[in-house]
Amino acid sequence: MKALALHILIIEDQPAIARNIGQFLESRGHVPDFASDGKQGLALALSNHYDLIILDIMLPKMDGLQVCKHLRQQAKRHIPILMLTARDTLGDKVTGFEMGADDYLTKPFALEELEVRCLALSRRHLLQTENKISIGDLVIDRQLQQVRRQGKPLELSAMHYNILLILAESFPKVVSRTELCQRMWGDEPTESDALRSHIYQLRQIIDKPFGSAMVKTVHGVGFALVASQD
Amino acid sequence: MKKYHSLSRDIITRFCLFAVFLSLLFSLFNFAFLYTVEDFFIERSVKNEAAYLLEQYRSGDNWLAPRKPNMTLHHSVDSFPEEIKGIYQEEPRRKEFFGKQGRHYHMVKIDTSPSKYLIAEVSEQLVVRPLRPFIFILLSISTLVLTLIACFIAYRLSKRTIAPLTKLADLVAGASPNKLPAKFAQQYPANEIGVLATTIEGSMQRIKDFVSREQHFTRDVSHELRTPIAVIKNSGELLAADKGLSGGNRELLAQIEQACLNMEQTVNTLLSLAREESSQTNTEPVRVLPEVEQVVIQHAALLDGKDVRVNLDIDSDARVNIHRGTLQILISNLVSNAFQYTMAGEVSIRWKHGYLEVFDTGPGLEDDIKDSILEPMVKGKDSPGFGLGLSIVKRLCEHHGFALSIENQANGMMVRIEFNRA
Repeated sequence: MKALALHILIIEDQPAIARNIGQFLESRGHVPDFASDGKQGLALALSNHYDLIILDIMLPKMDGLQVCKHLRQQAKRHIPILMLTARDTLGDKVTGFEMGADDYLTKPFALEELEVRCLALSRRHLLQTENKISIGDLVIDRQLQQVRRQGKPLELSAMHYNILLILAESFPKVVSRTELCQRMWGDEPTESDALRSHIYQLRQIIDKPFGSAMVKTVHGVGFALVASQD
Repeated sequence: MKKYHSLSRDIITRFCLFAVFLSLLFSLFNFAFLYTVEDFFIERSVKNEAAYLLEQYRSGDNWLAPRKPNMTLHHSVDSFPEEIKGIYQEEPRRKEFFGKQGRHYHMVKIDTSPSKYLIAEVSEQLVVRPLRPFIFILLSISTLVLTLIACFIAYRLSKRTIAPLTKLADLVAGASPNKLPAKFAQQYPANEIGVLATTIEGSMQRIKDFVSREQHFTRDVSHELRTPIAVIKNSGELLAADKGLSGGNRELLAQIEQACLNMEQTVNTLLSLAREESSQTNTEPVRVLPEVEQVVIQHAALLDGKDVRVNLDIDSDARVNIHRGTLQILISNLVSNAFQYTMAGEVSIRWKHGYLEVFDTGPGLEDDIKDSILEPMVKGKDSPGFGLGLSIVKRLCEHHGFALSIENQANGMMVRIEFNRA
C-alpha cells in the first residue's frame, strides 16, 4: 500500500521542531504545510483543506487551545487535531481534549510515533465514512464482514474477525495483550494461552498462504498489523 | 504529654511548698512573739515585786514576804525548790526554769550583798500554754487555706503560660513539609509565647515559599528542556535515516540518541518529583501488567537490530497502590535502561509479592561501583550516562518509601524495587 499521502498542517512556533517534523513527513510521502503562530494557523486551517492538523499549545498571538476551540466552532467539517506540547499533566490533557483535540503527544516524541498517530487519526476518520479498511493488500469490509487479501476472500470465525478488526482499527499502532483481551473478553481473567492460540490460528489464515506476514508480535507484549508493501 | 505535666506540676508544687514554708515560718514567729510578750509581762511583775521588796528592806531594814502567793523570797540558793536548784547551779545565768508537773519558774536576782532571789511560780498565770492547742489549730487551718490558695494561683498561672506553649509545641511537632500550619499566631497571647508563635509562623511561611519556588523552578525548567530535547531527538532520527552515514558517524549518532533518551527520562522523573505533593495523595490500585506492556511497546525501538528476547512474568491481576505517573516513571526508567544496554540475550520483567524485578543480560555494573552507583554522579567506566538516571530513580523510591536494590548476577544484572503494600 502506498502510504496515504496526508496533507498536514503543522502549527508550531519553534522552527527547528517544525522543520524536523516537516522533513520527516515529507520523506514518508506526506505534504506538510506550516504556520508559526496561532492566528496564522487558524486562518490557514479554515481556508485550506487538510487531512490532519498538528497543533502546538504554546503559540504566540493565539495559543493552541484557543485555536482548537475556534476551529471546532468555525470549521465546516471535523478536522483531526493532534496536540503537541511539553505539558503533560492530567489536567493539561483533559483541557486539550475538552477543547476538541483528538490526540495528545508530549515532547519529546519519536517522529515515527508521530507519523503512526497521524495515520491512525486520519485513518479513523476514513473508516467512519467508508466502512472499508485497507491495509496493504488486506481489505476488510465492515458492512459485509468480509475479509480479502490480495483479492482472495478469507474464512474467519467471529473471534478471529474481531481480533483482526481491533488490530486493523488501531493500525499502525501496537495493541497490548491486555488491551486486546480487555476488548475481546471484557474483565474476565485473561487467558493468555487462549489468545496465543487464536493469534496462531489467525496467522494460519491471514499470513501463511501469502508471501508476507501481516500479524506481528511486538516483544511478546503486543500485536500490530504490518502493511505488506511500503 | 509528660513534659506539660511536669512543668506545670513543678510550678504548682513549688508554690505550695513555698506557701507552707512561709506559713510555718510566720507561725514560728507568732509563737516566738507570743512567748516573748508573755515572758515580758511576767518578768515585769516579778521585777516590780522585787523592787518593792528591796525598797521595803532599805527603808525598814527588813525583808518582807512577797505579796503574791506564788512568789517566794530566797536568801540563798539552798532554799531553791529542788527541781530547779541543780539547774541553777549549772547555769547561773538562767532566769527561767521548767519544773515537773507543768510548773514554771521565773527568778529575779536582787542585787544586795548577799544576793536575794525572788522566785515566782507562774504556771497558773500562763496565757499562751492553755491557748496553745487553739493557736496551733488556727495556724494549721490558715496554713492549709493559704496553701490551697497558692495552689490555685499556681494552677491558673501555669495554665496561662504552659498551655499555650504546649499548644504551640504540638502544632509545630505535627507539621510536615506538605502540611505546614499557617496563620496561627493570632491565637496566642501577647507575650513571649506570642513572639515565639509569630516567629515560627514566619519561618513556616518561608519554608512553604521555598518549597513552592523549588517545585515551580523544577517544573518550569523541565518544560523548557523538553523542547530542545525534542529538537535533538528528532534531528537525530532524521540523521539516522541517512543511508550514507559512515560507521563512525553512526556510532556518534547512537551516542547522541542514547544521551537524548537519558535526558528525556531525567526530565520526566524530575517533573514527577516536583509534583510530589499530588503524587502522595492521588494513589490508586494500579494494574501492573498493562503499564509494563505500554512501556515495552514505547521503548521497543531501543531493541531494533538486537537479538534480545523480552519475557514478562506478571500476574494479570497484580496491583499496587501508587500514583499512576510514579509507577510509569519507575518502570520506564528500569525498562529503557535494560533495553538500551543489552546488546543480546534477554530482558525479563517480573512482578512477585509487591516487588518489581527487571533482569537483563547486559554488561551489568562493575563491582567497585555497584554500591555507590546509587549516589549521584557515579558512572561506570564504559557505560555513559548510567549514573544520573538510576540515582534519580533512587530518590523517587526513597521519597515514596520503596526499597531499590541492584544485583550483579552471573549472566547479567537485576534491579529490584520493593513497593510497600499500602
